[in-house]
Amino acid sequence: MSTPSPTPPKPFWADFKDLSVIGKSTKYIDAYERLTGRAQFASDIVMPGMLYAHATLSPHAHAKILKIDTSKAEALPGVKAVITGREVEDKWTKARLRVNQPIIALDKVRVQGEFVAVVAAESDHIARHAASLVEVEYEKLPFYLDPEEALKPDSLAIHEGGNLVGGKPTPEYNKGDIAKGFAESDVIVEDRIAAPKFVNHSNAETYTVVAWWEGERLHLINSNQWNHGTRNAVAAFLGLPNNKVRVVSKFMGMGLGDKAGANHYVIVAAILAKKTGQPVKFFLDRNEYMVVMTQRYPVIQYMKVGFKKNGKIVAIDARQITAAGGYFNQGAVSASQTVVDYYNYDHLKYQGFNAYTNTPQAGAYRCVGHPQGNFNTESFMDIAAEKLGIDPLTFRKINVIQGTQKHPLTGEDYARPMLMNELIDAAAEKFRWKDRWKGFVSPTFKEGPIRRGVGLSVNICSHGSISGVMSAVTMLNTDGTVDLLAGATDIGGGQRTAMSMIAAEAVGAKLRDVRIEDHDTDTAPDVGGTFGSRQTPSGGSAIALAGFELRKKILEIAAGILNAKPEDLDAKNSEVFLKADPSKKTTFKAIAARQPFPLTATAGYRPPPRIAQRTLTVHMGEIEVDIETGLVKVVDYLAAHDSGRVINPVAFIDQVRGGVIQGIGMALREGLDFDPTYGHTLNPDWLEYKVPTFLDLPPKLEVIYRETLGPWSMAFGAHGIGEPPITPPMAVVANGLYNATGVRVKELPLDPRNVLTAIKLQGVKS
Amino acid sequence: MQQFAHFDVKTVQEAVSLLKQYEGKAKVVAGGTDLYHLMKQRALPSEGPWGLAYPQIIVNLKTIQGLNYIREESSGLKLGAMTTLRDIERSSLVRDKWPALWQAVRAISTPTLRTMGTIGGNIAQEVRCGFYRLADNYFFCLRKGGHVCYAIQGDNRWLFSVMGGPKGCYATHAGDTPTALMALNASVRIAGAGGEKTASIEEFFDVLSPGVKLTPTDLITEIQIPPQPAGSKSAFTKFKVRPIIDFAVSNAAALITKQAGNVSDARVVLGGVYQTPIRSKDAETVLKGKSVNEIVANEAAAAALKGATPLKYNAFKVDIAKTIVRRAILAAAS
Repeated sequence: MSTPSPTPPKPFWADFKDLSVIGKSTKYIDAYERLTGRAQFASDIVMPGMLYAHATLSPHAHAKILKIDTSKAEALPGVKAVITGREVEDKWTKARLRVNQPIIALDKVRVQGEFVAVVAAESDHIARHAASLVEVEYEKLPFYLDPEEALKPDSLAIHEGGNLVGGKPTPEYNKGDIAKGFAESDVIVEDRIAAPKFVNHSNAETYTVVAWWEGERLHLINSNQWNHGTRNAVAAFLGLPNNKVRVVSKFMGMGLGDKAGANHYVIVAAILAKKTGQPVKFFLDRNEYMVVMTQRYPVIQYMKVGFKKNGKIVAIDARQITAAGGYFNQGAVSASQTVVDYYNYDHLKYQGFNAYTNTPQAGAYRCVGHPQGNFNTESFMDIAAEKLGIDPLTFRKINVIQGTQKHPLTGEDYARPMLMNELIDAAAEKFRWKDRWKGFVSPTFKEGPIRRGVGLSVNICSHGSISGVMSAVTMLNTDGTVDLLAGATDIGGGQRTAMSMIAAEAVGAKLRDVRIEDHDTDTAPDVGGTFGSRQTPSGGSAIALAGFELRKKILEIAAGILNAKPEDLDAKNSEVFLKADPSKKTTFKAIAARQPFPLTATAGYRPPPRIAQRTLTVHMGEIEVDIETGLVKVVDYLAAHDSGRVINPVAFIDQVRGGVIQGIGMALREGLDFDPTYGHTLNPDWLEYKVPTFLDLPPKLEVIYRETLGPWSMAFGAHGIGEPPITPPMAVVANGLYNATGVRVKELPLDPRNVLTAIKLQGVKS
Repeated sequence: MQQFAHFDVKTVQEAVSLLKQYEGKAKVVAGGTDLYHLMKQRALPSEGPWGLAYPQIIVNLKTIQGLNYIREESSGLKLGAMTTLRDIERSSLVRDKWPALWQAVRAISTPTLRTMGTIGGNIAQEVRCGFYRLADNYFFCLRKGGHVCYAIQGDNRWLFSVMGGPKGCYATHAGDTPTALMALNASVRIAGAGGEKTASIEEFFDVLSPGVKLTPTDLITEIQIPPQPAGSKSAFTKFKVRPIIDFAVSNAAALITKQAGNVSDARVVLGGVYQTPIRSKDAETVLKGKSVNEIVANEAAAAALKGATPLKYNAFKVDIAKTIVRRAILAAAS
């Protein structure tokens, strides 16, 4: 599969060496609005004459719909419309959400929480009441919560064609000769490790949209991660031209992958608004939010790996089984990277099995597929390292992707040198790994029922996955201020600030002279969604290029004023000066004053194709367990990242810390509980679904970073930080628990029940 | 929420007469942290007998003056039923003289909730069974007047009984203060249409809804705790999954009185393992006459869990409960 290497280019930002905006910790430019409560979220919007939508949800995990009677709901005073799947299909759209999900259920429900009917009424109260008056006759069917159960030959098919999505393993990868690989191996390790839970995003703001029509034009204020993505998808569903749909999302209470595409509630709201001629708000409450939409999905991993005595991996044979939920969206394609992307190997056989299950849908959640797979792979590698008699750190250094090599499976070039060993060393030094590591099952602390131990995990994660051309516009206003038009939705990660910083740097303007227009499809061009850790590197590249274009025009005008050649000039702080003599200068204001109209510049950017863009991560932690109760805590944690150039250090560190806390939540407790007998989600709330609290913060949580740049690095060398921090904590905790006690927990979460049960079965060995 | 009528009342008498007027349809609300959750979830059927159905009338006790007090009298500690958990937490009197209660209050949920929740409400709260409380009355369970306890076949890992299911219900009492109050030998003063009465807290809890021995016209007005015996100390321990917010997987309280280093009297109570807090006389017997050390405490804890009959998925709770009881005993004996 090896491809000829393109010649390494000179990055388009390479001449920018002396940065004045990028790399300096900068408070969020919209902090004032956010902190004073002035920021308006979709949930805050109230419009005159606005109706409220509410859905009748399927209470069953799997059932045939025999009859739907909406007459009682329609008769309730204040109800303006009730729609069912049949009406959507007959009158509005036959399109399916993602692969095969009807907007509203037709003849069958495959998931608890599936929309069966949706009501629009004058108040939320009436809408909810009306939704409960929709009478549905179901015939309950056997349901499957476990993908391995669903794949058994005698299981009832959730979709025609059986429960294996696509009818075959997807994806499948092969390299070398797997049988030969094992024959050449000195040590072979085999195990099953699983992240078997659905994990909810727990966004602060649940799903909300407000939809209204002005003539034939649809307006949406939506809590989403990609305005243009939503616009184009909704337009396609309703058969409208793209510019007949407008999507606005200025502030949103987090999006973690679940708000990246067009969701069914948006389309339903648009239909109800059209049908009633009134604005419609569709808000899903926490209970609903936690069952109706996509989640992080289970990944069960069977792994057999052959090693040389010196610890080198020879062959990997792995199977991952994912629970896809009732309708397919995401699965093993993403999770497989945790098998094929971290280490070198000569022989590989990989198969991913995505199984339909009567559970919520598998979907993107901050590093789709990776945290689950990382737990599986990195727990496995610690088990293997112990069998090989090699400490976990040395084991990683022997095998991990390193330096200027090519991708072990695809043969692609990496965008930049993969300095994993340097990152491992930097992490180890800061964490004092070598002082604290006393061998497997050697606690760092032991007193009464308390044991502490250290663990680590590495992670190499792809980013910047949209390959299309994205564009941005910059503008020098007649007073010398700069406008940036780029639809890079701020999902709470500080994108608005980072994009403005990139523009300021590229143009040569003061940050406070830059105004960003980023939240309305009517005014800002598409730079792609804020997901996949892509916005800063990819969207940022379009913005940087549009900034360079504007700078070029500004320097040309300044050349006339300063009597110099444009190439002898530089711009910073909204001033243009002679490189040789910075005292000779003029201001953006003076330059702009010469122009009767604003100067504008546009640029398009396409990420380099067939280049492996990766972020590098090494996490280390010390965990503590009470062996009498199984209660695990994280007492010390170090997150080391190499995401190339750091644009805004304070935001970068916050991203890492937030990701680590989320990961610790998943490591210790989080997971939707489906009743094994009744199939119902039992904990769709923040009491019984246990997201971390502030008291779960490790007493010590440090972040360090290296900034490796390379020939195919994007915007000023940034490589994205949104996702990678959430990925390693599960394996860090599991490996730390093992080193503290000798107890290996092979299924998430490491909650008191699972840990205490494992302690009883395996016995504490320290 | 469904619709309901809401009455602010000024006196206990007014509350009682409203409860009488709307007998079987009305419920009192104090902090509201428990009742409003049930109502917002629409967890109860819209119609049915008192306690098993969505209330049509809410009688708000927060507007009654003078039910919020912490007083030490010669007969012991008097707590008005409307005293917030936060006020108890702030009381050095409670902290110093009735530490098990203070520790139990501190272990409840979050500061925000403790500012709303009251001691009366904490005692009279309903179970946290996930089946009972699931939205839209999805599980019309035995506790609501149905025929099945869904916990027996269902996911019964966390907040379910390991000591049997009296009258068929395997839910557990979720409160922390009841465990401490039982160890401290507290009583409850009750006002009602039938006049005032006082009940020992040991007799006060009940199986099935509403979990306490209150009639539809009764309400709690005061908690009374006797002075603690000379040479005694009390302690409370709780095991919860997160360091804050969560209900007890298991809790325990112990009151240990020592003479010349040996236990002369002991009260040991377990919570979170049965429909009501339960006093373990077996554990107390083990302790009496002995000098408490790890081994004795362990033996007493084992006695407390002796008849345990865990469900399919919650056997681990027996081990945790033993540890929690042992730790309470050791803390009270220290």
